[in-house]
Amino acid sequence: MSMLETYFAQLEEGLKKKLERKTTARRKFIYEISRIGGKMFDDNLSSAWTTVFVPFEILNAMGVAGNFIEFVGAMMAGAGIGRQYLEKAEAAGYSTDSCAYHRTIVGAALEGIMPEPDLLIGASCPCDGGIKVLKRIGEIYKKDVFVINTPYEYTPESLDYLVNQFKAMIDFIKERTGRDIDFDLLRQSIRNNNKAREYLVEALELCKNVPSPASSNDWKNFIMFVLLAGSEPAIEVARIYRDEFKEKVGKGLAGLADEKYRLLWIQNRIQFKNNLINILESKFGANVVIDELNYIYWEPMDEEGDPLRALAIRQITHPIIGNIDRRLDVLAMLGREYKCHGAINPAHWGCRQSGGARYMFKEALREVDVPVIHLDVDCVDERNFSEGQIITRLEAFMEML
Amino acid sequence: MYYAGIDIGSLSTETVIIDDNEKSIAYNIFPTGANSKIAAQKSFNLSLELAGISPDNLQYIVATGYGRISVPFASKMVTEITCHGRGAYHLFPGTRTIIDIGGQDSKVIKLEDSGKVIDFAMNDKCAAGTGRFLEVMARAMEIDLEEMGPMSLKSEEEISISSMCTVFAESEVISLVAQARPKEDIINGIHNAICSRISAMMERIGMEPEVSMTGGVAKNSGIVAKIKQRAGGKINVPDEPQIVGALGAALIARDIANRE
Repeated sequence: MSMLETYFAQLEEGLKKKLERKTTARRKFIYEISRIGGKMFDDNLSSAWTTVFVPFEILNAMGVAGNFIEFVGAMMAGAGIGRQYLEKAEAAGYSTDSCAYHRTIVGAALEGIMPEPDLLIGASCPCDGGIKVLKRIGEIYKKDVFVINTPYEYTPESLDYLVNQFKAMIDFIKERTGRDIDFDLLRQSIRNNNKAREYLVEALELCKNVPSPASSNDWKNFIMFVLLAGSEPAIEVARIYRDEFKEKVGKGLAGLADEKYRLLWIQNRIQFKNNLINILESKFGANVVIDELNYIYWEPMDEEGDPLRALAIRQITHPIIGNIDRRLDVLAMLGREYKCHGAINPAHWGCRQSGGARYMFKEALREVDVPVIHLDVDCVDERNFSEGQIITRLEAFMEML
Repeated sequence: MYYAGIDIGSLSTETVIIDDNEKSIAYNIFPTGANSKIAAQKSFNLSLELAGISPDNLQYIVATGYGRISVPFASKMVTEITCHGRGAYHLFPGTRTIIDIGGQDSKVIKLEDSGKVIDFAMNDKCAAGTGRFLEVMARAMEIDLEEMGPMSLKSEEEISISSMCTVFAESEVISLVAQARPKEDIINGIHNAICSRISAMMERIGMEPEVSMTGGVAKNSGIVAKIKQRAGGKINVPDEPQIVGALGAALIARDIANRE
């Protein structure tokens, strides 16, 4: 058993025991995610390495276990084992200024600790750097890369185009694995998505309460939920979140005792172990009540029509894709509706896809009286993280609030 | 009663003691050296001695600066951004923008009319544009840090230092020295490099007059002249700019003690 396979197996086993003692939404979520990680090693499935915005429902309906490469980078940073793979990638010529999520996966592939993928599939949005990384990984494993070219704007024509992209992806998978798509399974996943969505919308709505029933880490990295999309466990995870927060609100229980400040988190969390959230909570009574990436932006999916079209609508309407105005509107709405006092934007080193909008984040949130702190950090490479410097900026921001 | 503020920076540690009337009764500037905890203790002891008081006479102590966690006897820790804001506003109540260039970081702080900090910008994680940057350049040119300001004012020709990185800028300076370019011009180029970084931060937070300058680099007349130009021709510089953070910390100590 490889080191990574052992890691997922132990994580799953440990969480299973904890869940037997007490079920919490967070535990259940991480447990299900660890099971997805473990599926990379399941010989009965084909495996795909992907970028983040790939419709995993289609992969599941074709018997393909998909994992997005940023998930692997985040997971390794969180486990404190990313450093050697970052160094490996750098030795292979990757600049330390490039994205560390991507450097980690390249290093891990070069070290041979990852299971060999059968497929490589990337989406052109929100980040095209990931596609280039997949290309490099494709060279290592002698595999082709399929690129889902996601249109920038949402028009009837661009939607048709994206649906055709999904069809081409299905052909690509079929050709390389011999596996066909089960459309009944895909339609079921659309129905499952809608059920999970209903619970999640309610759970997130409950977090608008003051104080919020959630603490800063309850929703941490919830973007990984996309790996569960369309599955039965996704419905279960979402339901437990809803139930847990509903009960807490009913009993008047706060996620963070003595919540004084409510914060909006822009983009990703910092993945390796650090003290920032602890300082925010314990020293300032500051609670991250909403993460931008957790917002359920999509409407209920069409259960009767073409499932590929339903998935394409969800993909193309993501606020992080296309005209920045939609994303700014979402940020301002979240800041206002969640009654936030401030927003934290850890501007990930080497990430190009949102750097250009930094100034606009600040302006959009200023309109709703939510000040923003941009933290120049590397969310994955802890060698590039000077905790004292970052804490000074964060503490000064909190003193300002 | 008395109140103390201790600012533990990367290069120097300062302590200021004030009385109930917010009047400074003693201060000192002490090299931080390798052990910030020892430096804080020594600077604190020296200030008590200068003030002629004992620790029992102090009602509240605030520690600030990057070494603020190294002061076990402090009542509270507050960041240097808030402390410089408080200190500069006390000295120059018309201050709305503060430029603080210290040993390892540079920052621009914006105040509202009440003196409260409403925004700030700091250098990225790099020493370019800081006191340490100037120290390295002075060493490369074999001149004293104090000489840099007056020498730069005698510059006759513009030289551009293109490197942002301290190490690369140092080698650029060494090669300019090797080309026998006048030191005055090289120093002026170094000052321009620092000021362009500061200007970007001033613009980012939306500079408003009056502008005050704090931190050790405010003792460099060449840099002050350049920033003054960018600030619209007027800039406040305290008699001892290096102690403004510690003064702000002492004032905050008094504010807190009075509230409690």
